Amino acid sequence: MSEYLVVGSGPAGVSAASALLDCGRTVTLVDVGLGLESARQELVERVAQQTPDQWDRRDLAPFYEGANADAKGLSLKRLFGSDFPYRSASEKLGLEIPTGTLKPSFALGGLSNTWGAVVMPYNDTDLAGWPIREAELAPHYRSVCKFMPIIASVDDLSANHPIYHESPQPSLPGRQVSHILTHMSKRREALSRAGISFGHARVAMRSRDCQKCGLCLHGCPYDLIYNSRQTIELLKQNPRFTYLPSQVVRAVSNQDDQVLVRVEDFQTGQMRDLKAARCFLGAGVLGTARIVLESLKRFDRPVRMIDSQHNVLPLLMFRNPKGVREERSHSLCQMFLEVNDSSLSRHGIHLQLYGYSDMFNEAFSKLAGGLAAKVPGLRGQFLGRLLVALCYLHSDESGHLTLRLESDGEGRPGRMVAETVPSSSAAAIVKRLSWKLFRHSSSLGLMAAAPAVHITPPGRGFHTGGSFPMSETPGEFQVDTLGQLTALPRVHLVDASVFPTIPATTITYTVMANAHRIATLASQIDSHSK
Amino acid sequence: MSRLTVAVTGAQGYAGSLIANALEARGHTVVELVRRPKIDAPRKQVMFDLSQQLDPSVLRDLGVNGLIHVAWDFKQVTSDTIRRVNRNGSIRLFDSFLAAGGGTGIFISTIAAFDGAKSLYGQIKRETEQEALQRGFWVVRPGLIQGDEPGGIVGVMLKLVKKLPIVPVLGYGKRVLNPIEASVLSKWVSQLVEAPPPSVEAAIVVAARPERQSLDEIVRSLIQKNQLGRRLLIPLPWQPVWLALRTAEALGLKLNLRSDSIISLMNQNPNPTFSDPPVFS
Repeated sequence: MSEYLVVGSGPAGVSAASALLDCGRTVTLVDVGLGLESARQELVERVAQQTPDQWDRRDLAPFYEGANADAKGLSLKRLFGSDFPYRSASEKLGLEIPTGTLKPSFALGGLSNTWGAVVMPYNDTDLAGWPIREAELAPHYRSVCKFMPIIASVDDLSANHPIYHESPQPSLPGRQVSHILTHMSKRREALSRAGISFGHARVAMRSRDCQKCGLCLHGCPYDLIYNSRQTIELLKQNPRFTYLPSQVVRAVSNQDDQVLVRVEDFQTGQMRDLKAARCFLGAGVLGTARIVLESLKRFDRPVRMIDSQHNVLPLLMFRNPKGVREERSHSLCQMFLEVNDSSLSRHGIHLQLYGYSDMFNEAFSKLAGGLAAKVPGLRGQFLGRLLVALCYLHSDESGHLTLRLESDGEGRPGRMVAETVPSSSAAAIVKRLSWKLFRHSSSLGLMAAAPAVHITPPGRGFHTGGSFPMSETPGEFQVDTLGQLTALPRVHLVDASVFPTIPATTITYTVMANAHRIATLASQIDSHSK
Repeated sequence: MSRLTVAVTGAQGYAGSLIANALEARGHTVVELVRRPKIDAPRKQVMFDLSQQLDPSVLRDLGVNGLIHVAWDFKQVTSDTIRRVNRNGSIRLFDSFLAAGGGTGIFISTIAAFDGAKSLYGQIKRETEQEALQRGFWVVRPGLIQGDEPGGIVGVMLKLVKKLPIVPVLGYGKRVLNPIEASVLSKWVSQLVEAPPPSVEAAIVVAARPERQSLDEIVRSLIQKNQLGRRLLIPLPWQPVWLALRTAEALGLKLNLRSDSIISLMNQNPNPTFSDPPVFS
C-alpha cells in the first residue's frame, strides 16, 4: 500500500507530491491525465525539432484553431488549438456552470496547460485575513522554485514581493514594454505619489532558451512555459512515486487511521477503493468541491466560491516604437503595474500588461473591419501603440460564484450547479481605475482607453477558490491550516479551495507554496507521532 | 434557399473534393476537415483525424450548419481497428457536429453496405449508417464512382489497365455493378444538404444507376475511354487473387488494393433499391 495519495496533476498536486517525496514518503498520484491528441502532438514534435526560421508557418494552422480574439479579450484559451485541457471534466462532474466562466480540467497538468504563467508571491498585506503569514509560506515559495523556472528582475516590485528564486530567468521585454519601462522609470516619483508601482512581469518560463516565436498564447512548441506535467515527468524518475492515470476520484472517507478513496475508472466506469495514510486533494476548485460535498453528503447546500475578477483594459502608448509588428518576441505578460490607492479600493489592484501579438492583429481586423483596408497605415499606427492590460481585483471587491451539489431525489448525488453573482463594486472600481490611469497618462507614457474597458464575469480569469477556506477555528465548510475539514481528518485540501481571500496579484504560485507547506507539515506530524 | 456553411471530411479525396466544389457552385461555404490543415489553403481548413475527437466549439465558431462525412481510413485492415477508427470516429464526429448546434448531416456510405454484407467495409459502413440514421442524418450510398479522373476502386482498376498489357478480370468478369458518375453524385449530395431533415423511411439514398454493368464491361469501357488500345482480358476466379492479397496483408505489406475490396466487389447487394434524384426548389 502506498503511504500517501495525491489527487490531481495540476500545480497543487505536483507541489504536494514533491513535498512528500522530499520528506521521504511513498506517493501515488491519481489523475485522469488527458493529453494532446496524437495528430497535434506529432505536429508539435515536428515543429520543436526546428528553429522558427526553419518552420513553414502554413503548417501551424492547427495551433490557431478556436483562438478568437476580439476587443473583449481572448476566447477560452487552448493548447496547440486543442480543447483537451477542459475535455470531459464538466460532463463527468455533472457540472452546470455559466459559459464564459471557469471550467474544470481532467488533463495531465490540469489548468497549467493553458495558464498565463504569471507568478507573484503574496506578502503579509496580501495575506490579511489568512491564518498563516508570509514567513510561513516563504520556505515553500523557495521549494517550488526548485522545479519551476521564474522570470524575475530586481526592481521596485521586488521590495514588496521578494524574488525567492536563486537563479531567476532573464526578462525579455519587447520594444513596447521596454519603452514604457524607461518612460516610467524617469517619472517614478510622480507615479509613486499616485500609488502606482511597476516592474518586469514574473513569469514561470525558461526564458533563457526562448526562441521568440511569439506562439506563447497558443502553446510553446519548445515546452518552455511551465506546465506541471513537466514536474510529473520529473517525479516519475523517483522510485517512491507512482503515477496512476485514468482515475476519477469520487469520494473520500475515514476508516480507522486510514483514508479510503473511492475512484472510478475513467474508461470503464468501474469503482474501487484505494487506501492511504493521508490524502491530498488538488483536483481544482470545482473537482475538489465535488469530492468533498459527495463525501460529506451535503446536498442542496450552497457553497460560496470567491474569485479575483479580471477586466480587460486597452492602453495606447504615446510613442509608436519602430518595428513592433516585425519584432520577434514572446507574447506572455511582460510587465506589472500595481495600484494602491485607498480612494479606489481597500486592496491593491494588479495589472498585467501584454505587448503586441498576432491576437491583437485579429482583434483589430474585427474591430476596424473595412476601415483598416481603406486607411493606409492605420493598422501599424494603432497596433504599434496598443498594449492590453488585464486588471485583477481583490476577491473582496469582485463578484463570486455559488456552487450547489443537488441530490437526485433518492439521497444520491446528482448535478453540481454553479451560478455567478456579480459584485456591485467591481464595475465602479474598474471605471475609477481606468480614469485614474487616464489622469496619469503623461507619467505612464500611455493612455488608458477608459471607455473601452471590458468587465468579465466572475470566474472568467480562473482565479477562483475559497470554497472551504482555512481558519484557525474551522466551522462546517472551513478547513484548518492543514487543509483538513473537521469531518474528514487526514484528508487535506491543497488547492485554491482553501484560500480565505484571493488577492489581486495572481493565484497559482501561492497555491503551489501552500500545497507544499501543507504536505510538508502533514508528513512531519506522522514522523513525530511515530 | 439559405446559404449554408458545410464541413466536409475527406475534402482532399476524390469524391470529397468534387462534393466540396459542387457545394461552392451552389453558393455554400465549405470548411474542409483535413489531417494537415494549411494556413493559406484556398478554403478554411480545420484539423480532423478520424481517430481523434473534434472540438464542437471550433465548428460552432465557424458557424457550421451542415456536415458531409466522406472520409474513411482505408489504412486499417483488421475489423477491430476499422471499427475503432472509422465507426467510432464517425460517431464522435456526428456528436461533435450535433453538440456544435447541428444542421443537415450527410453520411457518405457505399452501395456495398447492406444487411448481410460480406465485406468488412460493407458491414462497418452499415453499422455506421445506423448511427447516422439514429441522429437524423441522411445516408447516401453511392454506387461504383466513375469519372474523368477516377479515384477509389475505379482509380485502382485504371492504373492496372494502364500498366498491364494483359488484364485479369476477377470473378470471370461476370459480377454486375451499379455505377454512378462522380459529377452526378456530387450534385445530388450538394442538393441534399439543402433538403429538410429526412423522414426515417426515406433517409437512405442510393446514388447509383439502376442499369447494371458487368465488371468485364466496366474494364472494357475504361480501356476505350482512355484510348489504351488493345488489351487482353483474362477472366479469372477471384479467390486466388484474394488469397494472395490476404497473405500480403498478413505479412504487413501495404498495397493499393485490399483483399476486403475484392470481397466487397464480388459480393454486391443482390436487391438494391434505387432512389430518384432529389428534386428541390
